[in-house]
Amino acid sequence: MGISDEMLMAYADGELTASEAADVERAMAEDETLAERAAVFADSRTALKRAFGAAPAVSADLEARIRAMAEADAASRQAPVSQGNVIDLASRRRVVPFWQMPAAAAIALAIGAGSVWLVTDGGRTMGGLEIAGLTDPSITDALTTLPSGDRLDLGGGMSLSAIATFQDGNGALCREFEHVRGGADRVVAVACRAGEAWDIRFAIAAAAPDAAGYSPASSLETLDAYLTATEAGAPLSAEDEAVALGALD
Amino acid sequence: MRDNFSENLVALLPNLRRFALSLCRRGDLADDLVQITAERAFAARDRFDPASRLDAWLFRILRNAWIDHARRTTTRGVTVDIHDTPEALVVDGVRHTEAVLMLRKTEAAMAELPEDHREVIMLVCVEELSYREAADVLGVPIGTVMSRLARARLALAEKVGIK
Repeated sequence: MGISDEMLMAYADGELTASEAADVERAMAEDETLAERAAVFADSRTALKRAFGAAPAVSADLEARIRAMAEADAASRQAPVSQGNVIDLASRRRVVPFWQMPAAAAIALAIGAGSVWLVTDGGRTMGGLEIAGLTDPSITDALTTLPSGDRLDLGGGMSLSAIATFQDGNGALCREFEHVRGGADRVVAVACRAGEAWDIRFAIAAAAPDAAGYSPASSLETLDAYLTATEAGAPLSAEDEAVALGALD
Repeated sequence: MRDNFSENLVALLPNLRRFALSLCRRGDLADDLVQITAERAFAARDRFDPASRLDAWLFRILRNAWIDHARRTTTRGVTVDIHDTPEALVVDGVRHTEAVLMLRKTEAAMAELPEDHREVIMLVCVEELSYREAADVLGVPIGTVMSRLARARLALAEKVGIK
């Protein structure tokens, strides 16, 4: 039987069943080059193990921050029963900055502000539910022309950043972008091409970046869930994106 | 009652940071990724299956945090070598020159590999996850892990001169 590189590697890594391993050993006994190839896999692992060794300790500062998180976590778990379901927000707030709140908390906040829109029906049934500002022609023009990674000032304190271009599971060309109004009012959205127009398929109010410009990652898990559900493809390369957008005109 | 989850998580911080560094290659960002990972882990700790490996679960969270970040960041800062503290490698000063040379070559070869090769190597060969566990961390089929890992190790062996 033919022995693939993957089989030889799995043999070297001890990942084969006994009968598979016996097959490989039989083949190696007949063909020395196979044994040599298995040794390359074993040696590469040894070299890596040696090169990296034990992981160096993290900074005392980082460890202290995470120990503080552990303490806050322990405190919230040992809260007196009489407090029932009241969450000790104060102790969490000290260690978890607003922009790093877990997705659930960020979404709850967005709902509280009355600013979550989820449109899943191709935009056709939006009815009165309009996403303020996102129907502006300057935005739809930007979606057709702005390369991902670029930011366009729309005037009036508004700006649009193109994040990525991809195809959804139905082959429609889609763009993920961020629309910021007044510095703090940030909407992450996905628009897909439908005929001659862009339809907003998804939009969610997101926490603003902090002063250092660091985008909060955890509040975007909802977007990831949406992208997964619509079988969104990987983002197009800059070249492929330019071709795809160019074909829209 | 000892809180094993927290203790184990703190004990894994060096491994988390090393994996973060292999992905982003920036010390400051690696710290951020580790912190975000810890935050998400505490928030989701009830969903962790104690029968599975905590490090694999945390690597997956960390990798997702990195993807989130990378997707939204087009400008990269200065990248550093996969070890951000090269002096830490010279442990005792008596290490054989050839051995040191081999370590340097291995590190340099890792730095040249594409990210998807680097991460699978880190998970399996350095952190010693099984193929199955690595597949769960990466969210790909086990066959993909195997083909990627085999290609990555052959490429690395060639660069380093393992025959």
